[in-house]
Amino acid sequence: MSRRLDLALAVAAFMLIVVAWTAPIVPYEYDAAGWWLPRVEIERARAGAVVGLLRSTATLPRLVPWLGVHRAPEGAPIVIGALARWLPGALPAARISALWTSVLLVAMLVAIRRRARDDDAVGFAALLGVLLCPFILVHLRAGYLDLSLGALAALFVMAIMDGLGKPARRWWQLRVLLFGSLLAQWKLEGALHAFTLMAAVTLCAERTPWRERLTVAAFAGIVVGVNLLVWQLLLWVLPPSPLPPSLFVWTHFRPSTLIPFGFQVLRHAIDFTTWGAVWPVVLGAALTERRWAALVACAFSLALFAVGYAAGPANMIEWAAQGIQLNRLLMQMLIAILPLVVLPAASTA
Amino acid sequence: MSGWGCYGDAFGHAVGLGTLEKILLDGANGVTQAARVCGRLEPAALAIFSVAALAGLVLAYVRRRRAAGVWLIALLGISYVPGLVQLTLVRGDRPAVQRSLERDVAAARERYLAAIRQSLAGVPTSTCFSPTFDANCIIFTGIYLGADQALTHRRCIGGEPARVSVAVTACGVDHIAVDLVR
Repeated sequence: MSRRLDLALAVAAFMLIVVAWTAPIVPYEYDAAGWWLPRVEIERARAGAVVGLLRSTATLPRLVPWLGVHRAPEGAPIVIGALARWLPGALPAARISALWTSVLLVAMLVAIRRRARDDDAVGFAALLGVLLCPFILVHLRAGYLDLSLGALAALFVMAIMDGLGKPARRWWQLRVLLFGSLLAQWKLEGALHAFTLMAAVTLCAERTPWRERLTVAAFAGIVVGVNLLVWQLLLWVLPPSPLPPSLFVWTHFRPSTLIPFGFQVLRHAIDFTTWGAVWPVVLGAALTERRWAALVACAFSLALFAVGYAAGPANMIEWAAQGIQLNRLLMQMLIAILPLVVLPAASTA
Repeated sequence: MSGWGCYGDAFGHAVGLGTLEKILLDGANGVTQAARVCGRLEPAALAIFSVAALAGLVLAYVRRRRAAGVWLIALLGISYVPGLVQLTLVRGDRPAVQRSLERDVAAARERYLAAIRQSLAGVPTSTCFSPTFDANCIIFTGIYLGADQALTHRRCIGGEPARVSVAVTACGVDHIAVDLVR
C-alpha cells in the first residue's frame, strides 16, 4: 500500500505542477468580480474603492492581505511581484502565481503524507479526490489567492496539530508563526480561518490535556492577533486616507441574512459541475472516520462568516447569492480541513 | 438587498457575447455559470448530492477500508466528469483555444493602453484619472484594471477627487473608444 500510495501522491503532485505550468500567461481575468452583471461590478467597485481594494502601490499597505497577489504582477510587490522580478522572463507573473499555489499544495500533500498512516485508504481517497476537483483546477490555473489561502490554512492546521501531538514535533511554534502570519496577511478571510481552525483543532484534541491545548491555542491566537494589530498600526501610521473606520457595521446587524446565507451555501455546495461529489464524500469520510475537528471547523467557519455577512456591507449577501464569494469560501474550507479529514486526531498523531 | 435571487443571465443575454466575453463570464466562481444563474435548489443537483452523500457514508463505513478508498475515488471520478468535460471542451478558456485567447487579451489590453495614453497625453502625470465604462465595456474592466498599472498616470483611489475622467466606450478585442472628459 505504501509504495502505491506514494506513487499516487507523486502523480497528483506532478499533475498539480503541470496544470499550473500550463496556466495562461496573460491574465485575462484580473479581479474576481462578477463581470456578468454591471450592477455587481458597480457595487463591487464602489465597495472596493471604499476599503482600498483597488490595489496599487499606494493602497497595498492599507489592506489586510498585503502579502497576497491578485493576478497583476504590479500589484503584488511582496511575493509574486518579487518572484516575477527575480525569475527569468520566461516565467510571467500569472504563471508564477499558479506555480506558487501548486508548490503550496504539494507542500501540503507531502506534509500530510509524512504524518498519515499507510492504511488510511479512505482519508487518502478523500485527499486525492479533492485535488482533482474541477473547481480546484479552475483556481489553480487562474492563480487566484483563494487556493493558496486554503493550502496555507492546511499547513497552519498541521503545525497546530504538531504542537498538540505527543511528543510535540520540533519547531511547531516556528511553523505556527510562519503559516499563521502568512494566513492572516494573505487575504481578508485568512484571519477568520486561522481562528476557527485553531479553535476546532484544540477543542477536538480530546486526548491532550486542557492546559496544553490552551497553551497551543493561545500561542496561535497571539500570532494571528499580532498580525492584525500590526495592520491596524499601519493604518494609524499611514497618512489619512478615505478608508472608513470599519468595514463591518455591527450596529446594523441583520440576522435576516442568515437564512439566505445558509440557502446559498447549500445551493453552491451541491452544484455538481463545479464540485462533483466532493462535499458529500469529504463530509461522509469525516463523519465515519470520526474526524470531528473537520466538521467542527466547517461549522465554526460558516457560523463566523454568516455573522460577518449579517454585519457586513449590504451587498455582501448579494455577492454571495451570485457565487462571487461563497464558492471560494467553500474551496478555502475544503482545502483547510483536508489534514483534519486525512490525519488522525492530533493527540494520537 | 435581495439575498435569494440570482441575476447572472440577465447581462449575458442582454449583450451579444464574443469568445472573450464568454471567457470572462466563465470566470473563477464556478466551473459553469450554473452556480449563479438560478435562484432555486436544482432538484437534480440535490438528488445527486444526496445519493453521493449516502454512497460516501456507506462506502466509508464498510470494513474493507482499502476497497472503500478505491470506491470513493471511483465515485469522485465519475462525479467529476461533467465538470472536467466543461473545463476541457466547453469553457471559453479550454486548452485548445488558450493561445488565441491570450493573444486576444493581450491585444485588447494594448489597445486600451494606447487609447488611454493618447487621451491623457496633455494631462500632468501627477493627476489621477477616473475611467467610466459604458455597458459594453464593463465586462472588460477586469482586463483594463490590470493594464492600468502600466500607465504613467494612475487611477484615482478611494474617495480621491478625480480632476480628469476618461469615458471608455465601444469596447472589443479590436476596437475601443476613449474620450477625455475634464
